[in-house]
Amino acid sequence: MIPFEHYIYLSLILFSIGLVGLVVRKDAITVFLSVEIMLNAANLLFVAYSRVRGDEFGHTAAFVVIAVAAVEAAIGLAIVIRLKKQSGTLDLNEIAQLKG
Amino acid sequence: MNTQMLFLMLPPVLGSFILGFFSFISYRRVEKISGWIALLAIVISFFAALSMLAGFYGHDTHPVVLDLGSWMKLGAFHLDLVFKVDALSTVFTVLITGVGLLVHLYSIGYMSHDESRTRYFSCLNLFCAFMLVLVTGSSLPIIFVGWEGVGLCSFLLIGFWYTDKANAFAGRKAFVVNRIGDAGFLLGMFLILKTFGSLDISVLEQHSLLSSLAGMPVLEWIMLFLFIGCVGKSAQFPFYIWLPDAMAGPTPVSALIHAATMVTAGIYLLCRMFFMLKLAPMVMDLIAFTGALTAFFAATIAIFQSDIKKVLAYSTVSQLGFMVLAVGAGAPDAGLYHLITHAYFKALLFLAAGSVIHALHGEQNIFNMGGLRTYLPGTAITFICGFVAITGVPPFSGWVTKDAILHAVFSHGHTTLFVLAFLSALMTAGYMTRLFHFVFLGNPRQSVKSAKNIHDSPWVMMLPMWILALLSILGGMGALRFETILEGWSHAQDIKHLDGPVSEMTMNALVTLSTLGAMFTVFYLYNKKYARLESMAQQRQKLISFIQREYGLNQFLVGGATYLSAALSKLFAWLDRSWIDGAVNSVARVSMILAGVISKIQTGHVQGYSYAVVVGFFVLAYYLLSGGV
Repeated sequence: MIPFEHYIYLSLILFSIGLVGLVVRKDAITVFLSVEIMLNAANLLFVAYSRVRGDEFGHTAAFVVIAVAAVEAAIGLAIVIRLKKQSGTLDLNEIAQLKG
Repeated sequence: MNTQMLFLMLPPVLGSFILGFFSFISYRRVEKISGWIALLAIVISFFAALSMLAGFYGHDTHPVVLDLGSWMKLGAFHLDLVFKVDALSTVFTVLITGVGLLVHLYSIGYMSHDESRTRYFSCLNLFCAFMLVLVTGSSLPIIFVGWEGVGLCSFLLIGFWYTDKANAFAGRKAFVVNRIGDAGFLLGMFLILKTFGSLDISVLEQHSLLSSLAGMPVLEWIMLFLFIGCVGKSAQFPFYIWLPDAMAGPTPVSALIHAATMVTAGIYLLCRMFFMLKLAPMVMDLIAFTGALTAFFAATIAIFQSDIKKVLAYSTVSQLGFMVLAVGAGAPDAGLYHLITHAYFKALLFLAAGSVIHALHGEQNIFNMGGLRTYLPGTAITFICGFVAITGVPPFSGWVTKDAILHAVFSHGHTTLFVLAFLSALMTAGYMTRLFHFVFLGNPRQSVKSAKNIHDSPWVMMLPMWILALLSILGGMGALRFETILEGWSHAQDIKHLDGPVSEMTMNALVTLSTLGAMFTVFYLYNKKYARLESMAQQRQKLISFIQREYGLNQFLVGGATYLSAALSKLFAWLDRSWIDGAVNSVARVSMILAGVISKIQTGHVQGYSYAVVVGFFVLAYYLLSGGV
């Protein structure tokens, strides 16, 4: 069996990658990708703990998270399309309409 | 509820309110009897005052009290609304209601053709009501209410014919100058409250701190402030400037308010507080000096006046100076006697002047009169009665009281002041003789020749004049100047009279002879040497008009006051613009700067925000995991 700690480490690494991507990447879609990575990291953690504890709570939670992620991706991409149409670019360093 | 007191205090108040109401509605029937309604109110008060006076001649000399319960309660300080008639007050109440009665009667005749006479009588009654409050107040705030009230009524009555702006301005001047005095009175009250903890006069009289504070600066300051109030109200130098202007009002008003009553309020206050005043020697000296100065100063101006009422106005200021001098010299009883006799003869003189003005249809310039002794015999005789009283011809009332003052001043050692007062007495004889000469003697001049049907006034006006004439003649008698009562009062105040180097008789003789001499000299000069006098006057025309204008004092004070308030206004306007607006604007600017700084956080850069969230998360995590709260 894979020792339980490995799941934690993997989840942590995935989450960090996503986090750094969120903060650092300049393309909006890449930022969305990073957010999805973070959500998957959380899912992994939920399922791992579910195996350890022996109940199905983690599975249920993972389903909810997946559903939410799907919805969020739909709405987020709609916003990105709007943003592209309006500003002509998806470079997050350029877009600063909320300034001041 | 003491019925005597109610009958004394209430009728003028009720009369004033009823007439005031009708002065707005203007109901013809009431207008005709408005004067009689007012007169009735005062008559009731007069009889109440008399009955209280009678009580003081017996052995039981307890004050009559009207207690209306508590007025102010502020923590430890409380004040009751109590009106009290004691020996001093009873004299004043009889004087106020008595002379008031006569003036009301006279006014019925004098104002018979005036369409606003209801308002006039309402104000006149109100004045008497407030004056009674002033002299029966048992504590300083109540006295102050009466004080302010008579100032108000003086304003209302001086500016009675307000459609002529000059009259309105005169009323305003009286009120504003009085106000300066009131500020002094207030400061005195504050200081008394702080020092003694009470404003009730009976409490102050018995206060334990009095003897220990004798001669201390605190008492000097208190009495100085109260004296400033007196200076404003009783027209002493330099706040007398309102009184000559006050002649713009109806003549009976001048008789009552500016001769017999309101102007005596200041002297009443000094006498009422004499128990404290005698412990402040420096202020006493100041008071004596001011009185003598006022007496002299005003007398010099009176000599050169051409308006009959103005002569009497300056004369009043001068005589008030005598009364104030007496108080300052330590003889308030002498001052009070003179106050009483002055009320008699000065009111008479004003009423007679009113009679003359009425007969000549408004003429007030004495150079246009003359020879009126044949046309107005009744007025002339009554005027003579007042004339001999004021100049101090023995044995009439003025001679008795003025002499008492001069003797007291001399015996208490104030020689210079005595000289000033003596000269003022000579000048009094001088200008009164001059007035009498120009109005009644000689040949009829301009206005007398052109007026038709000059006759003595109707009985409503002549009767008060005859009564006052009688009082002026006989007022020297003890009874008519309330001698028994006032002697009791001055005994209670521990007033002792020294005899001084010269005996009273000798001084009496000297002063009387000098005064009579002055009178005859003036008679002679005006009769025989008139041409010579006229040429002397022509040569010194500039000097004379300078003196006539009160040595420019009026312009100086009024101009000075105007300049000061303009300057202060500019100063405050500048302060407001630069400091206050500056402060408010700075607050706004500070918050704008702060906002500018803080808004730099909002970069609009979403990734920056998420970076901040991450950093914040780590800080929080570290904090929580290291065991913080």
